[in-house]
Amino acid sequence: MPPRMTSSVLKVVAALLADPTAERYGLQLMQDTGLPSGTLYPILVRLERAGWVEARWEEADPVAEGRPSRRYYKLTADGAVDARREVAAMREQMSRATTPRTQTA
Amino acid sequence: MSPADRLARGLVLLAARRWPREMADEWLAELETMRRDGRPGRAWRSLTFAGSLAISPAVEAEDEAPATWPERLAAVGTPVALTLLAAGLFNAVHLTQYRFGPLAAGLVLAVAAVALALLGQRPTATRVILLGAAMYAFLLAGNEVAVMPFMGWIDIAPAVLTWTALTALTVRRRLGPVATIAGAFITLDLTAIAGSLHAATSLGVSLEAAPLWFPLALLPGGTAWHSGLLLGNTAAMIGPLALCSVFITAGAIRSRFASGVPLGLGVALGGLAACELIRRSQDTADATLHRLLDNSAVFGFGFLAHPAGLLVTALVVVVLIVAGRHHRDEVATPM
Repeated sequence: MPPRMTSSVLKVVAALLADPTAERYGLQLMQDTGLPSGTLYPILVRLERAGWVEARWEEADPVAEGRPSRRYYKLTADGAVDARREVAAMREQMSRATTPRTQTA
Repeated sequence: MSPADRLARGLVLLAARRWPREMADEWLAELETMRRDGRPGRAWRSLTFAGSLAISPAVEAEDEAPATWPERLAAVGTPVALTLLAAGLFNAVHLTQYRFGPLAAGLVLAVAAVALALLGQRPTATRVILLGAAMYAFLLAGNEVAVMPFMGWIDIAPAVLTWTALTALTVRRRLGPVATIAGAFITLDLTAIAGSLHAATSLGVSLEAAPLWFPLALLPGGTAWHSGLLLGNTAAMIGPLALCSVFITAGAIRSRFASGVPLGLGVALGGLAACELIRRSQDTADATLHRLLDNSAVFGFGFLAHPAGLLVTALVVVVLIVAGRHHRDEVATPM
């Protein structure tokens, strides 16, 4: 089931679509979208369940890195296609809503 | 680790109880990264990160649709509205008794019970707890001056706690119709006892008849051989709770049947039978119903005299209207 496209979901999807191949961690996405953690993480969980996003734990040595391993998120191939389509549909709806209707005689 | 870090960690662990397990590890890792970050404002960022998670509703189960904000607001608004409705109907019964006598009051009480039975829904245990909190606030804070001598927190708290705990338990157990009705009566009986123990001790009333306080407070003739003050006090406290029990019990039973009509009919016939019983015992009805409705004025709505109380009530009404319209739109345009 595709996720419901709210403005917050749109922000997250747009941030991920900016570079679909790039992996991002939660704090980074919070900075990119301006969303608080309590809004961002439920969206990430829903996107992951919908198959739009995949997550993986960073394979790094915490001692060498000086910080714990991070969990990275990335759009799946199908997710990127679906996300682009949904974003385009949303933009079309928005432009239709904001364009003044022509008067018919 | 600083106190702010400890607090942030505690908030994250609190939030993580409601989330998939792997999220806790991820959030703790992010907190640890923030802790090691030497930039100014680190503690504030950690606390807002953890606080936002702590107050955020948990993500729904995998097979559930995400709840919308109107639905979440309605979850809070409905128990408050039900409390006001039950108390309003109880006051209507009281005013009818005052103006038109016991028979009319009995009829209004039956109509109130039927109305709540028809509106009845099976609530979740969480909603029962919210309902208990709203009822406690109403019974205690709604009266600037207690309408009965024993309606302070020491009386209301045990009553509402007992009612809330037992009702929530009944709702969770998903009992059959007979067991559900019996459970509601037992709940109200124990609620009456819990709410009247302090009064009984203060008045020197024996506890031997405690299991009968609830039926005696409702049935004609009870005050003839028991403390009128105790039963009047019990009736005033238990009235709105009993109407809420009707709403919940009817909802629980109706969820097992396709239509609410048989139940509504049953309750209506029961109400008529109760009225006939009251009519035939005219000599004692005056005394008993007076005890049931023994308040000198509309009780519990004192908070409406304050602008803040009016504002909160108006807010609840607006929230329910918005939620209702949202629900209607969802039904009209299924996804």
